[in-house]
Amino acid sequence: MAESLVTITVNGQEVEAPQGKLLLHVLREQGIRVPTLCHDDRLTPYGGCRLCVVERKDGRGGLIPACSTPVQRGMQIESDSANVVESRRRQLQFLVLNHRMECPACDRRGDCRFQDLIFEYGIPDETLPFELQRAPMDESSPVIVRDPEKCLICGKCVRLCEEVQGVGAIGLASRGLEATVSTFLERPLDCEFCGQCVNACPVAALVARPYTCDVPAWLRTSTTTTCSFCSCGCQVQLETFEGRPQAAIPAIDEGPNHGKLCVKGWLGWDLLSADNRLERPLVRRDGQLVEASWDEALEAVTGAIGKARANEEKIVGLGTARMTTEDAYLLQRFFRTVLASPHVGCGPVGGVDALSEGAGETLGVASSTAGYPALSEADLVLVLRADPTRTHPLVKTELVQRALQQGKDFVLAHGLSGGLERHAKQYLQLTPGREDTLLAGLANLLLERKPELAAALENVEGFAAWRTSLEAYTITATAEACGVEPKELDALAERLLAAGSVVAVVVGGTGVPGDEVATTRAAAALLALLRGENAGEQLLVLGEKSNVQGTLDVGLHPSRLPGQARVDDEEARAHLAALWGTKPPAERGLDPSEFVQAADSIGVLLLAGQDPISGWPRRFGGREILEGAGFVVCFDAFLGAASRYADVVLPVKILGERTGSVVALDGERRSLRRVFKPAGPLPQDGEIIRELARRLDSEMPSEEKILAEIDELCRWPRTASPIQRFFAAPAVPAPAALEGVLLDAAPQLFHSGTLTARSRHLQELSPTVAVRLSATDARRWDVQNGQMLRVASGERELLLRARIDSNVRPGTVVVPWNGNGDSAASMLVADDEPVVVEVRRS
Amino acid sequence: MSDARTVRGPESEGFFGAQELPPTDIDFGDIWQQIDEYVAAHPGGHERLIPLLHRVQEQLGYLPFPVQEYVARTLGLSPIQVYGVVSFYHFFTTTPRGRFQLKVCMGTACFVRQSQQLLDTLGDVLGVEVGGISDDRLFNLDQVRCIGACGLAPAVMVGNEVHGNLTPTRVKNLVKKLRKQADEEEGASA
Repeated sequence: MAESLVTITVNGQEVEAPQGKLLLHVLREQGIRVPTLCHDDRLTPYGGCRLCVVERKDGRGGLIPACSTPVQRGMQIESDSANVVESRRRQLQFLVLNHRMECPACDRRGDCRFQDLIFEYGIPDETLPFELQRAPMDESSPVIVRDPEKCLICGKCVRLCEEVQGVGAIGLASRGLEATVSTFLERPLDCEFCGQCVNACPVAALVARPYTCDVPAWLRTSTTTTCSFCSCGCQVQLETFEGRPQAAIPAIDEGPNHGKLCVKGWLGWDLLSADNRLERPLVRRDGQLVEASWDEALEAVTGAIGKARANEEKIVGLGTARMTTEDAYLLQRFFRTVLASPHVGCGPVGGVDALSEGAGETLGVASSTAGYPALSEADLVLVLRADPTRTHPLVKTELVQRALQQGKDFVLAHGLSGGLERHAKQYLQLTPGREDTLLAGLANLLLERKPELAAALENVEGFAAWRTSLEAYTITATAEACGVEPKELDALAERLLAAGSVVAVVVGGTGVPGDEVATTRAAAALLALLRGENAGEQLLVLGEKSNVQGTLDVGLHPSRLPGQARVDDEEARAHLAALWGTKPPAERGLDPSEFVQAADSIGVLLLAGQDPISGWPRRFGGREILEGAGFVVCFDAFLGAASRYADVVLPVKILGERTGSVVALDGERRSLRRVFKPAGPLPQDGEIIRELARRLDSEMPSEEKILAEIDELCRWPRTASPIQRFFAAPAVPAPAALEGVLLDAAPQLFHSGTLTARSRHLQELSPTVAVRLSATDARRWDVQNGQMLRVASGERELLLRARIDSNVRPGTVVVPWNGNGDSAASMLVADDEPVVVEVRRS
Repeated sequence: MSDARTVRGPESEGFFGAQELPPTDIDFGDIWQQIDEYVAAHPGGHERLIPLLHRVQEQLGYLPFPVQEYVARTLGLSPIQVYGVVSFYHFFTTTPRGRFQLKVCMGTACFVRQSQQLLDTLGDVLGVEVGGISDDRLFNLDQVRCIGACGLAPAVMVGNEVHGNLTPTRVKNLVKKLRKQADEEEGASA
């Protein structure tokens, strides 16, 4: 749809602008400075501070707010007339009245929009008969300090909290001079601590404790880089002084986040300078890990590799999905060429299997095929497996903005909500792990209502078997198995049929119950029904760690080569042989589930940032693997649980200390720039791999050559692909056992258990580990908040404090995933069936 | 959404940590059900907030915080958004109202006919300050500007009913009569 242009006159000059565009934007594009305090491009127009007034000379005329006035044909605007300047001066005078002026001692240290405006416009001399409304500082929150005496009531914090973050923790209470930003019942701030309010505050009414510092804005270095805590790919502007963090601000003009950020990207950076950070290599001597030189440590590693080769033992390399794309490529290339070992991968990280075996096997590409634009543009978004609030905060804000700013629907289908259900059109609170059941039931329902949907798909592999397998999924059977009402399924089916475009979001997570592969396959099949053969456009898999997609793309995977080819793909192997000079092994590498069986045959286990004990669900047997392996090498920034079994520990750079790139959940490859400096010199993962290769007399190619190889083998971003295969649904699972209680595992917002648990700021915010249960069950078992409960499954038992939480589904108890090392993980013995536990009062 | 009603009382727990409401032994009757019914009968969005608050205040005489939280949940708002509206409009109140709203007219005509005496007497008899509520939650005492019943000065309003030509003795009797009426109503409902 072409936008119609209108002509307006600005300061005597004719200007063309699209009809309906905000006057403020039109004026700013003309290079005209229009001051604003309450305006924010992330929010719907507000028009509260009246500093953006300009004079309209045509029609009714007068002073109008540019920030909330759309342009109309023939408008005549004066942007700097005497009336405009005087009005702004008056407005500033009113604002100054209720602002405690202490600029020289203020935390803003000159970095203040309000101060700038007062300097620019001045304020009238006369005094007005009002006094500053006195109010005490609110220092109840561990990170955010609120000073109501400085607040201008621009409302940006309140509006961001609701409209963008969807939290609504703060609001404007009372009116007139008494108006104040407040929480409900003035309780201490209890929110997601995304910091959006602090970053948006034009003055020092909101200040972040961790970032109150003596370094003024003009002395800081500001670098925009990709936040690599999760896979959202947010661009964050990190301000540093001598390599230390001073502020973290979301990049307003850059995607994908366009000015949004979460608690980790805001506050998590302190973990880099944690006291227990490793600075020198450690080597095991006489049973003890002792400091050693790099030379000694690397000699020990190459010696062990030589021994393993001589004994024909397995050499296994596990990177992480946090590695940079380049380092991951180097690691797998090192294993597949120098060591001729097929055993490389990144461990069992949420999203990898969904991408590789889910999307890869149905759509032919092991990638999400929808990105952020699809998430905001689709008519309907269906979110499966978990609430992205805790694991993928940017995806959450996209959903909130869809609902609150664009009025578009999304539907949640999972066991436990995290706050997003308030904005959802529909929330199907499922029995944990029943997402694939729901999707099969929906597919059956759609086919019953509109059999013609099948027409275009009948020739696709596996369609007939899939269609037959769905017959058991009647609406009542599905509803019963999922623990929802049939009418809820009916309503969702109608919504799906009515929507012109649908995006299905599959939240990956090792701790979340349910089979992510089956869910992804079922989602792809359902989408294929709805949209003919173009299901690829609408599937979004959320990988857990920052570079799940990138590490998979470059072949850090036991069954995939760079460019996503299967390891036994002869064409791909021949291509790699030409490029590498060595043909990669055709044999599939060990899968995480196979390590325990093979543990004794592992000569060297190289863990590049991987911790099988604290990071993996217990069922993979991390401890047994480490005990069985002959020689264990860890690359890590901290001594983790796995390091206790290590023979050599090599300290490395992490997060914002590294350079390279990550591929975010939307498939876009984004750069990491070096922002922070570790206290002492440290190598990056890739540098160690290069050095090991050199010491094994097989030097790796230059960095340029490696980058060129990656570019040749992997393409970003990818195009959509039609469905290629259907997988038959299993028999309808039995409804959840009534006598037992189902265990659900919830990822945490403030840390994900391993790396982020090192951040003091994030730890301070984390609630204590507790077992959460519904109020119904609390009454049933006569449990009070805070009481100790025993949660038992088989031989294992957890003793945890009870928290009554009305978000929890009755009949389910929720234990945090990764909240306390492997405690919750140890309960999760199988991935596709929810665990039945016994709950007793202690 | 099951269990939404558990916002009452101290067992409520927010997702991010302790969010305990002050314990309450006040019985709000079937107000939860009335809110559910209102919302079911009026499909729509957030525009239902103000009419619903009116309805609740009509029933309870004020807007208790646990009820505000319940209204928020029911309409998909955050509690502070509801409180923002409640605190913005002076019509809404968060302090409990008595069964009978006594408003002593302090307009010029009533004032010259000793309405101050009526106010003082009522304050003594009920044991409340102006603007307060009696311990038995039966009476609220307020003073108001002219109620337009100057011919009946001095006058007191009980709810929407005007009582004129009052003396200290007559207001004492009025209070007695209202107490009796409340007793009878309670007896009838018990």
